[in-house]
Amino acid sequence: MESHQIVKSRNYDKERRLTHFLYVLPSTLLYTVFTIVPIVSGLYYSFTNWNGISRVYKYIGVQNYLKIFSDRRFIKAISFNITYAAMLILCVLILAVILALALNANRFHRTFFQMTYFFPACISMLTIGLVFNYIYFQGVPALGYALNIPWLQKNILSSKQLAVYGILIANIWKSVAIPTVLIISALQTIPNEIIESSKIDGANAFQRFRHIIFRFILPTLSIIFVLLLKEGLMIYDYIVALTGGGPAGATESITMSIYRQGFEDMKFSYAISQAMIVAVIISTVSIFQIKMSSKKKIYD
Amino acid sequence: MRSKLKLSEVIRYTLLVLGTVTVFFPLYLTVASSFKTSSEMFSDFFGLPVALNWSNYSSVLQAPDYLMAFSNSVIITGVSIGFMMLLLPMSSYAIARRMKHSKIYNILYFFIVAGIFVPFQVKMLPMVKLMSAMGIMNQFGAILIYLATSTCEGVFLMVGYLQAIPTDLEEAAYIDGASTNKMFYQIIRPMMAPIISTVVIKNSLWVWNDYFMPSLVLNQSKAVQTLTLYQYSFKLENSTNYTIIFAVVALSILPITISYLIFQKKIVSGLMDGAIKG
Repeated sequence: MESHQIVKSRNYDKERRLTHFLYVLPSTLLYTVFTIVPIVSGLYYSFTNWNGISRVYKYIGVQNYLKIFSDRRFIKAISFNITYAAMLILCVLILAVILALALNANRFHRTFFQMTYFFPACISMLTIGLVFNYIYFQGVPALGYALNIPWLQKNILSSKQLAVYGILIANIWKSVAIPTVLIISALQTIPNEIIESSKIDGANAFQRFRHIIFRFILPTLSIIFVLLLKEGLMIYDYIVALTGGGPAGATESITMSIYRQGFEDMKFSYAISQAMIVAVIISTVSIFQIKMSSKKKIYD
Repeated sequence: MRSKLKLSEVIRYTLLVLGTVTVFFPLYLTVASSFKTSSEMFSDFFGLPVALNWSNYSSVLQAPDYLMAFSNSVIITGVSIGFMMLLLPMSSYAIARRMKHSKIYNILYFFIVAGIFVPFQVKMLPMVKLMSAMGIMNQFGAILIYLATSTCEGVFLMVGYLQAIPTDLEEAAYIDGASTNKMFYQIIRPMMAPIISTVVIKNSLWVWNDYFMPSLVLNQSKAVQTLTLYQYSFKLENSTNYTIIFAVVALSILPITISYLIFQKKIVSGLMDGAIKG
């Protein structure tokens, strides 16, 4: 009887082990072939001088990496991304907090407003870029003539200084949605009694925001900060649809620069080594993101 | 006191209405412009069309490109999501139940989850070389890439979810003699419905709206392009014909709008969960 039981459980164990192995197999294979293999081969190419097409190439050590830090194009693109990310974070955080506070306190047409504000999150960045492209091409100049504002009368995307704001506005239009809803759910964790007693104590709206509300939404804000930082560092689609990196490279993001050097300028291995540097930066940001979100659970 | 309260309410409401106008304006412009004639568009950019002029839509729909791109997007999104729903719960379940006792599964978990930290930029160049060497610069290849990329976040979210589910039921099912497969599909997978829905929603929108990956892999011919690629190539080819471009954009936003109206609550919660944890 007893030995029979053991045999049975051993068979089960074997069956379970095999099934589990078959369960993880397809995903693991796909992930290995299409993510790990490209990364590892990319790392290898980054130490060569391969241009992406020729049959022969040779190992050149860290030369590609050494070149990057004195490469004007790389530095320009990276600083574009950093400035852009900073502006994106600032604008989206401020707008999202204002909208979330307004939506949370508002009693009328709540569902309608929430539904409306969230919709842009569902539309593709490229589509948004195309629509805004025409708004800047015709709409904004028409407005500029009507209001007699000279700098609005030209397409802002053709100006080296203003083009970046054109991209930023399209990006904000979409990217405010998710942060707003996240902040609203953080606002709803604030106990009503705290707000009420602060009112009795005579705190004004600003004091209430600074000392109570802000503390409760801070973990959420820091997650949003990291999400937006990542978005700003990886920006690509909007630029394709709006400026194509122009005018005169003024809005060339690092992703676009890597893409072009890798596929168009025959600098395949050099472009990969740039991608490796960018990957290190973005991975660091992502690690912060995961750390923060796991911290957030404690606050919940 | 009372009137002060009213004032803040008025300000709040005005603000929200202004925001709504900002959200609706590009959408309104898209739809309004798509019904205009070219000359109308130049004379009056912001106004409503004089008449509902369907010619932009009919000329877009008469060419095979839109429908081809639409069906490509449907196939790529549909097949990718279908396989994600099949593969991700399976692999996550095996990892979640094994990783505590088995070192190999533990390593596998971190091996897969580490992929979350890898931005697309770093793999795109070698990935394209690999795919062209394998001869899969087509819809099939695109689906494989989406499946591979979705693994990291999907496994991360689902393993986290599964760890919170007690194993008592499984043990009872084993004692009753159920096979692992049967037990998984009858007990565990139904319990995973909320997390599967989060993953499905986030990935559907990502795959459907993605431009970057298709622009690298599906740029060989018009027959394989997705809806986002089609919009961009249409814009390049018809850069002077704005009204038609707006018809194309309107037709591209339409499927998303319909799904949003139907699944609004699920989409909002799915994207929020995905944003925080992913």
